[in-house]
Amino acid sequence: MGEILRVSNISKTFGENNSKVNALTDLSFSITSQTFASIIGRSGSGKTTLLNMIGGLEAPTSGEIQINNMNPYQLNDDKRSEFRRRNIGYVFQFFNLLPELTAYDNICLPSYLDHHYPDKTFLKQVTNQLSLDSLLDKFPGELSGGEQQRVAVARALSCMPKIILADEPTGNLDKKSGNELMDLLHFSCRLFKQTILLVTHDLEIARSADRIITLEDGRILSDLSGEFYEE
Amino acid sequence: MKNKTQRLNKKANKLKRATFGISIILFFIFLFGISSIIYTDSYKMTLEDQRKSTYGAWHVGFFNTDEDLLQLLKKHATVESAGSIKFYGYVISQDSAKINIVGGIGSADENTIDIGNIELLGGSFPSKDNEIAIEASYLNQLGYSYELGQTITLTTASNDNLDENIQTTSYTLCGVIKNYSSYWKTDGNMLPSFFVSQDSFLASKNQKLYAFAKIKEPYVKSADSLSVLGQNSTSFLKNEFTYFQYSEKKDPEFLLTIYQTIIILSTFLFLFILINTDIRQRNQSFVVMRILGATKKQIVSIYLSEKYNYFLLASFIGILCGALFPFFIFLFLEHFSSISVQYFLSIVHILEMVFILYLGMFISTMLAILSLFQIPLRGMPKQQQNSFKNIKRHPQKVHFQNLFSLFKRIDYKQTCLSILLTFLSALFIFLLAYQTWSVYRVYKDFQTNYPEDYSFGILATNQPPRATMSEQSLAQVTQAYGVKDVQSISISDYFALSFTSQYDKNYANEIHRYLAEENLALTDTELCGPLIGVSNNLLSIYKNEVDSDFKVTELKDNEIILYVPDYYKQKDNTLLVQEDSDSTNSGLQLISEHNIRPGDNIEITINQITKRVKIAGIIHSFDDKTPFSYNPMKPYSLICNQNTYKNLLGFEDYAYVLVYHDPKTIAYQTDVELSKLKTNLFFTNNRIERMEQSQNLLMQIILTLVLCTSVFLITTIIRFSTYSFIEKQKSERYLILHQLGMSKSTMRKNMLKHSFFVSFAGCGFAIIALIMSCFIQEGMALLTYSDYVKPDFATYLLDIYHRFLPYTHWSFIIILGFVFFIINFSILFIHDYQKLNKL
Repeated sequence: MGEILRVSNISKTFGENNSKVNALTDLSFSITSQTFASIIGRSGSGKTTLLNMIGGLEAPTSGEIQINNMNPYQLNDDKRSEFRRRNIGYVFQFFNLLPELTAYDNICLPSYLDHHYPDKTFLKQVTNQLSLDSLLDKFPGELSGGEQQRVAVARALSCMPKIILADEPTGNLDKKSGNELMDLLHFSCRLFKQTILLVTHDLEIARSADRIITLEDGRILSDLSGEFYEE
Repeated sequence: MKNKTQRLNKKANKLKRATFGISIILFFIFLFGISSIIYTDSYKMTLEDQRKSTYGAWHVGFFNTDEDLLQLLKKHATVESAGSIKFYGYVISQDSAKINIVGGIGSADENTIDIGNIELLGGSFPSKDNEIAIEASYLNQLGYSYELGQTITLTTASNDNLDENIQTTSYTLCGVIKNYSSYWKTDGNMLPSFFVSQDSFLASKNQKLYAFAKIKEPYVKSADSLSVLGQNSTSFLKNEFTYFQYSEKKDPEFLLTIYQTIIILSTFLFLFILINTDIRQRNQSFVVMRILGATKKQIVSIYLSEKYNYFLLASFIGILCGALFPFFIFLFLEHFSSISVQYFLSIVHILEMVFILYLGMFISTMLAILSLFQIPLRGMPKQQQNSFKNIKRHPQKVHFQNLFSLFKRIDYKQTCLSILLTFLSALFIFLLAYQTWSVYRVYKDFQTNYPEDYSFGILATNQPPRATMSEQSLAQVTQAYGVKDVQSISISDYFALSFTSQYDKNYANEIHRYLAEENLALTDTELCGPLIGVSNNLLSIYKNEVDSDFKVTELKDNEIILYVPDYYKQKDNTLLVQEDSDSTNSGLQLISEHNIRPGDNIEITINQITKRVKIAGIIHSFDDKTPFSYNPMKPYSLICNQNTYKNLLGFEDYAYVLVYHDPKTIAYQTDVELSKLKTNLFFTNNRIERMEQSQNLLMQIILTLVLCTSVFLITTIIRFSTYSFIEKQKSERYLILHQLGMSKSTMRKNMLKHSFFVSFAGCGFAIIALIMSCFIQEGMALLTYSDYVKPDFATYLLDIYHRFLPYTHWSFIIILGFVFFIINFSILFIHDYQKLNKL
């Protein structure tokens, strides 16, 4: 399995002069394909900033990020958007579903943005696996939190991205729904041969990952296999 | 714990920001409401005060009346104050055998001095027998200085024939009076310019009494009811120079009231929307409160108590600033320009406006908080469950191309709101700007068509002159104080003409028929026309108007320029010159004379003697830029220099004289001197008219700028405040789309389209509304013409249409619409663009 993500010496600084804050400092790591990795750390440790930078949403102040051997920040905004929708899937804590669209359309949205319809067989497989078949015609407002998050996961998978970035996906769910979601993510990682990078502060959830990267004050505190990780 | 407190603080700050935003809008509503009332009142009062100062503050006048009427007036319930002027006779001057009137002599009581605003430049009004106060310009005319106490010897005559009781008396000058007698509306009755004490002329049997009355405010409109007090010989008149309600002149107050109403109603609509949106935004908190046991009334009272302190404070500061803002604007204007607007604060008007504003605020708030009574008791508010329960399922299959049209359908309410806001602000600004532009056009047209400061007589008519001015009178005009230049035109009767070469007989027949229908004293022959003798300093105007093929460089003696205008024959057989006729009304027969050529000769028969002149050039139509007053109107006019005119007729007199004032001299003195000249010709003072128009225009421009800027500021603030609530959801949508891979350029394109659509629709509707209001205004203007009888509705609409097309300032409307569109579009797009950049 080849390397899918390489983060080399990235730093991120917000503000200027006296109000200058170093969110990330000289961070480097790489992740191989089909790995389920989790990033943990306290609030303000730089988890979400790192995820946003990997997702092509926020350029690092210095350093380089390569996804599938490509640096998204060398592309212009249009090309970067295209790269993002074809290579990266997102799952957010607050689901970020468009309330105006049905669950089905929300799932298909990345494909729509790419000017095509998703592969129906694949979509059927995804919705079936996520038990969404009976919910596809409903609006987000008509779904429970767990159901909404399942729709969000289906949306992330719909384009068959190489890498899925999940930012506290269980943060807004009860324990049962959270566990179910994690099972789904693991399952899809295996089934669809995807790489998942999950940000969480829940150690129990993090521990289920193949690899755990711990951040503290914008630096990597540890980078261990899930089975060796201890609190 | 610390984080929770911070979050609560943040939330509280957010609430404060929302309340603060609405309070700011309320502040501006009150500021605008109060200041616009003060602007309107001050503007109106300043103009009225100016008019009162010039034309007197009296409402009605009775000329040639008696003491009984004066007493009746003084006791009349509707009259606030009444006074009289006694006219004893004339101050005359005698040179050789001729007696000339210098001015009137009389006395005025205190009431008349008061309500007539007859001001002293120095000294006092006469109280003793040998004292006299004289208008300033008359002192100059008689060669006296303003020095009080000097002896002034006057010859007076006490009847209209100037041959009775002629006496020469010496007076002591006790006062110099500011000119008034030539300004007042008197309908030809002479007012005294020389004031003596009443006792001096008690014995005068021929004295005339003029009574003036100022009516109490509630009865001003029913001034006509006082006319019954006068006898048959008494002439009654209303002071329409000062009070526009007695004339057809439009008071700007009416239009301003409409504009104020539009803006205030629309701002309250937006206040309602803002409060409603605020409540919706906080729906979750209210649901939680309900779950925790709060009653609906408690929630309403919590909401109101939270808001009303801010609202009351904002409104109070708004009222205060609204009252002070115009004061500083006027102060600024006075300091940096020559415009002096009197600050006028009508407590009644202010209270009315405050009442309306508070009522509007109360109603808007109450209507908005109705939704608080619909808060559900059960169920936790779900994430993103706010207002999407009623989303209709989209009938079409979603794909990239129709994704935005789907959002558009969902956002139609916000789009409509945005269009409505654009429409209302555009309409207000368009109406006001168009009104100001129309005033400017009237001023400009007057400038173009009447460049002269004063004129005697009239040229632009088919009729030959009924009276003329002698050479001596012309010399008096030329020598009058402050006269810089005089242009004169002699106009003769119609004389028989014959052409030595071919001419258009149809044209000649039509002209003859048309003039005969106008009851003109024509010659028996088919061809006839007047001689127009033009002074050398005016000749170039006519030379330039000659058809371009035959340019006339100089007009020799016995050479003429022939004026044969092109006419359109109207449906009622009347002839209308081409430039005045409605060019869109095709199918009308063109009557024109193009057979006669320069170099042809014309024989003109004057007193049975035939004389021959040569055509040097021909004028078929006058340029739009040439003053209308220079157009001779009469077909077959033979325009020549004054030498030729004198040679042909054997004498010279003047039917039309144009006078230009020397700006280095005192204008009002020239006004008086020229108005007092007995020339037989109708005297027009264009200088005062022009001065009044320019002052009005300047004030209108300033008022428009202030009001338009206020409206623009208010609507911009409302727009952004509204967006900060309503468009939050949109921002979230854009963020998600961006995270899912939609490029900013795609979103930017969509925002561009949206901003374009909103601005285009808003401006488009406003322009349509403006054009409709122009159409209605034209319709109303048509009905004010005394010779217009309202036909059936369809014909009436057609008549309006024929007026509306040429009289509407289309280019101004297009430019106005375009400029507003660009500004509005830029504001919308920049706002969205900034939002996009923050993603």
